Amino acid sequence: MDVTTQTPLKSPESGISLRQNRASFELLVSAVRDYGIFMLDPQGYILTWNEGAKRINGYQEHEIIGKHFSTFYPENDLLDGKPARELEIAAKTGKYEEEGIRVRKDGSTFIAHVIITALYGPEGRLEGFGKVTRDVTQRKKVEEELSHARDVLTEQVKEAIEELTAKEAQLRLITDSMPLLISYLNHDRRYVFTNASYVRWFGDLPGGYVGKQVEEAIGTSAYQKVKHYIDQAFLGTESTTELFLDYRAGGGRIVKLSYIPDFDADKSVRGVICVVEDITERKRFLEHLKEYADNLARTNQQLSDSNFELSQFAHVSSHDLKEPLRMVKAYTQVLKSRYSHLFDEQGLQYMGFVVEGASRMDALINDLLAYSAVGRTEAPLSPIDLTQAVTIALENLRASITSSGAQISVGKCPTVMGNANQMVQVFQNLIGNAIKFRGEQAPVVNIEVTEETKYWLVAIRDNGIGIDKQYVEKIFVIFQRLHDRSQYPGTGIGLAICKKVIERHGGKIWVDSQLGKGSTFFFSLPKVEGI
Amino acid sequence: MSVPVLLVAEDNKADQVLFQEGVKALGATVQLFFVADGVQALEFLRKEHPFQSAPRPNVVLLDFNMPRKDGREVLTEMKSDSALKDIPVLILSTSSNSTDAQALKASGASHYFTKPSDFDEYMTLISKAIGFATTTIRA
Repeated sequence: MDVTTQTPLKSPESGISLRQNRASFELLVSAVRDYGIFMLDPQGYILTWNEGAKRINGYQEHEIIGKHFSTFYPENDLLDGKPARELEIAAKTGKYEEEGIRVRKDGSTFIAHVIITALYGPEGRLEGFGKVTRDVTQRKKVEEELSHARDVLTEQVKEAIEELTAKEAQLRLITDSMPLLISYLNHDRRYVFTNASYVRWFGDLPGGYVGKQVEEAIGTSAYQKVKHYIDQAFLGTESTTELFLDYRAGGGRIVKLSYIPDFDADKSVRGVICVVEDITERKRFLEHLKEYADNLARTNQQLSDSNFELSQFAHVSSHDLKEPLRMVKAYTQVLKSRYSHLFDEQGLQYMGFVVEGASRMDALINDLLAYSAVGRTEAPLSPIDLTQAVTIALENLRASITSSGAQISVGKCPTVMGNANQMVQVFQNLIGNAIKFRGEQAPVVNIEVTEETKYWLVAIRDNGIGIDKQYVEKIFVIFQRLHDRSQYPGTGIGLAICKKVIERHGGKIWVDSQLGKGSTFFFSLPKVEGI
Repeated sequence: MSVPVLLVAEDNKADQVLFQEGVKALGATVQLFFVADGVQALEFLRKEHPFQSAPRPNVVLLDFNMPRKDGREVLTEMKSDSALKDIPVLILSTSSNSTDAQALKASGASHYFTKPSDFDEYMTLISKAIGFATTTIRA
């Protein structure tokens, strides 16, 4: 309905008169409830009013007709001269349209969508203005809320993107720092994510690795070997395997590959995570270690065999030596007794020397046998009561103890792990020496055991002739003697045997001595748990 | 009283002679027979050729190590032969091995001797052997 038409409304076909039309028109305008439609005179005074205007602005017809339309404007708009300006624009351009704040009769404000149209008469003279107003407060409110919501959403999306970016940066920081290959594949076997190691291992790919297929990135040879495992992962089976792969670039490596399916909520595989570790160095190292260990074991075995062989040799040799020696000794004795009448004084003396020599050799061989026997014992260690070992040794030395008038005192002795016979031998040798190498006085021998943190310390003290400091090491050497055989008998094997036995037991033996005053022989025996 | 008969199985000539010297030094009256190995020892005991006219020994001394059949084998065969099992068997060895001694005693040896290098000790050994022979005569 256009009020600005230059020609009056006419409907020629129906022949309805203008008057009738005008009545209908007025009915239309006045009845419309959603729009305020009213006329202003050229100065802006309100000429007409309708239902819509009443509803929107709150004024009754009789209250507002003749009033200026600026009544509807808020204070600051009035000060601004806005209403007059709007009319000016409408008059000049034909129309003024805006959304602005208006004031109702009760003082409350609302947002109005307003169109002011200039009305011209048939001569082109400004007759007044038509104003159409619609209350868009609600719409405006909704619009604002939507806008606000959109702003909030935008803000949230921004934040989310920032967080994601930060997280991705973090992920990259971590994954790039690892020397492993870390990547994510989609069903096309294309990389969705790769860490920096891909470049480190294989160099740059034009366009990067993301989006490329695995085969292109690592090469056909390598792909052929891993294809099966990737396929398995996409079917839902995680796998880890070690392979030698000849890669497209960077050479061949022994790698440990893991393909882990990425399941989503409904258990289907949406991608595969690949983790690849270069274990070439480690494998080489392990191989070397194994080789070293094998060598060590082999050498150990060789040493053990050699030791055993030596002991065997010593044992067998000694035995074989005893046979002819026996003949020499026995027949010399026979000669001496049966044919003594054929020998003169000197001849008999010489025979004596022969027998003596043979006897000595016999003793040496026996001692050598005893010494080598220590190395040949395969018997395992068992718990022994040292008191018992001492007792047996003293029993064996009964004769010399009695004849020398020796006084032996024995302290409390513990139980240790060892070979019973050999321990008896040790005590017998040491106590025997203490008695043998006595001075003027009767021998006084004292045996004490003290407890240390990791071992037992046995001390055998005597009041004998003592040992010159320069020989304290020498005396433990096989067949070493410090004295004339006529003074103190023996082959010089006793201490060598003791040393061998003690060292086989994991201990040490040494002596503390003063020439002329006496000696204390010490030996240690390791403590064993549970004994 | 009859003269004790001693059979000595010993492959070493020097040892054979030494045994004779020992007997001589003891002044004992015995009949000594020597064989060189275990096979001959059993032939002698069974009066097989060439020992058809061999007397029955009152004691047998066996060297532990002999060619063809050693002391242990002869002992076993003697003890499983009803005709020979009652003759005392003495084993002589160059080494003193308590394990061997026990095993041989368990197999029926009357004694295990280590051959001594001292002549006097050897004479003691021989007189002991003669002692074993005498017991069987009395029995």
